[in-house]
Amino acid sequence: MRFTYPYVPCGTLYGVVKRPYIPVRLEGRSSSVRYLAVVDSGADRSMIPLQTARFLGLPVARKSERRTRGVGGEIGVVQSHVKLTMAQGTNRLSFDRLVVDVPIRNLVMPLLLGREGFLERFTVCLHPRGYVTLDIDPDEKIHGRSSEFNR
Amino acid sequence: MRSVDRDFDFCVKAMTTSLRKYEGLWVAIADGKVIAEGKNQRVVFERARRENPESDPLMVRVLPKETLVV
Repeated sequence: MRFTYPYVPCGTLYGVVKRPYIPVRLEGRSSSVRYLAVVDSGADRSMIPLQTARFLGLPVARKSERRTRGVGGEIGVVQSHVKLTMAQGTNRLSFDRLVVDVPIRNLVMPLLLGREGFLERFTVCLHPRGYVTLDIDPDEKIHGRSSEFNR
Repeated sequence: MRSVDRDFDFCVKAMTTSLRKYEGLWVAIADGKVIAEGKNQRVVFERARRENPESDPLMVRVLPKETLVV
């Protein structure tokens, strides 16, 4: 099963960059909403903004806050999980319980789809011709599988 | 190349043009056009659904140009 999307040209201080965004549906306790999310092959894990987590009604337990450090500095995050669905034409793929990190502060950030529980399931190609493809073995049973979390 | 998703294709065409004026804001896109925008995504989504109850809007945060995804 293959999902193919053209890059989205975005304006930055350094001119136009083409980002590998894909449309996904996220579903929590209170809402089911379509979003643009970045395929972030360099990210260890997926991350969504606090505002999005609250809007979807995701469980966000502040007591489980952890400090994490990335290229942008150190932030507190809590772990949550969300149902994610990709659909393109007749192709449809769901991750029932994708683990995501949620920053505890409101940050201006895109939704980031990282490797653990998501990209590790695909063969991802960032094509120089201007599109991203995500291939998955049709025999792999994603639906109903849970992402694991190292406690 | 098109993606089969009209709202996504709108983003591909408009992110550096008509969507620039929404920099820093959330926008709700349905039927290939912006139907609501604002700072709070819940408010934007609800406004979009009020505007077009049948819609299933694509929610997009238009990132400020200072933003680099690293």
